[in-house]
Amino acid sequence: MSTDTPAPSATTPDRYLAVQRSDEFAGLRRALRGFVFPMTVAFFLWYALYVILSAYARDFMGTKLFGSNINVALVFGLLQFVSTFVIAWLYSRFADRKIDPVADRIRAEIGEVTHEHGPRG
Amino acid sequence: MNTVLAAEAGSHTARNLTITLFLIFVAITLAITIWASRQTKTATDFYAGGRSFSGFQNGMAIGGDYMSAASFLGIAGIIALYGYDGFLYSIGFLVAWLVALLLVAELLRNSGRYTMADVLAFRMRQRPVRTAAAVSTITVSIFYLLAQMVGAGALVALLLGIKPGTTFLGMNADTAKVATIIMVGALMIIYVTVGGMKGTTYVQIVKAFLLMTGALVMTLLVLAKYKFNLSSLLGDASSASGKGNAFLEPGLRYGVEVAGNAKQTFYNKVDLLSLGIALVLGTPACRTS
Repeated sequence: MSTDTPAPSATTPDRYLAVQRSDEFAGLRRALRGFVFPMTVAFFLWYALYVILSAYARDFMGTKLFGSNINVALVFGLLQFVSTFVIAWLYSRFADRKIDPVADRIRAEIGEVTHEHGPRG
Repeated sequence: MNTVLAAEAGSHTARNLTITLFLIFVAITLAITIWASRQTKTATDFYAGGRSFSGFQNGMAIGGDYMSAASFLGIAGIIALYGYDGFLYSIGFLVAWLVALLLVAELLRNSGRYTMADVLAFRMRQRPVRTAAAVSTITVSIFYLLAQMVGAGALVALLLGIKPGTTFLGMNADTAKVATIIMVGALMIIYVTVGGMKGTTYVQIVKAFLLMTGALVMTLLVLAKYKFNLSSLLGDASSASGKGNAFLEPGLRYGVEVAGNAKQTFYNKVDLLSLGIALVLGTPACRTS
């Protein structure tokens, strides 16, 4: 798709550097990292716990619940589905409120064409 | 004897039905492809579908792409054979989306570029980066496609009832199998070259919709058969598997405990942990390239 992407703007490096140094841009990056990094650590640990329990805590995972054939392992697995969808939903809400408005504003200041993206979801 | 004949006849009608459905699907997708090719006028149209797709449509298309033979048939098969471990495998695929969403998607999107190579080439010298990206894409695609095509060929052969020792349209089983692989491959090439991004995206959307609807209907039908009692469904599955309760627990396929062989057991468990990491980190890497 290089056919219609504008060539790297070698003409205005100063402008980009100025943006990079601006408080607004730094704030945007901080906001994104502040959400993304803890969330990544959280879901990774949650998933790792699931795999480790599946490997080393078979008796616990095999425990039957409510006197039925539904065991801890099944519920644990289904909870991974729940957490994944909840995190995706939280992220799209966060990006809609905190990231996209700022990013669009910075882009408009540089004069770069804003991509027409509606709300996510 | 009569029941055998009846079953044989039944499977014949079932096969005719599947072949008809298959041909209808091929006809519809080809029609979409030809329609899309009429709309494609510029390079942007061809490569990026004219950038006219909404987030929802793109999401459906990526979903359709993702629900390949590997995830749809592979996971169903591994669950059928090993029960819970197949479910565990599928969760790795699922959680992997978060890596792509949180760590890759936003940065890729804000860069305003469309492929991994575009992003890298943006900051570096174009030619070597693009060469490296092209070489790795082709290398990965060839190995990925090998497995996909063999799977697709086996599937179509099953669909058409091509079995060893039988003939199909005058070909023996092996030739017929190779012919189906070539046919499926040719069909894919037509989809992409004729339809471009718009065509393939629409085909994927249709596929995603059909697969999800189909899965939902099947799930409801099976659950209805058990009066929506998940426990009795699981109980029947485990007793029919011949493996009893172990079928519903981790350990039949991954991290197998070998009695009296602590070393092998240790290796098997490390293997399971390694698989978990590979699924979560490898899947998004595969998807972004």
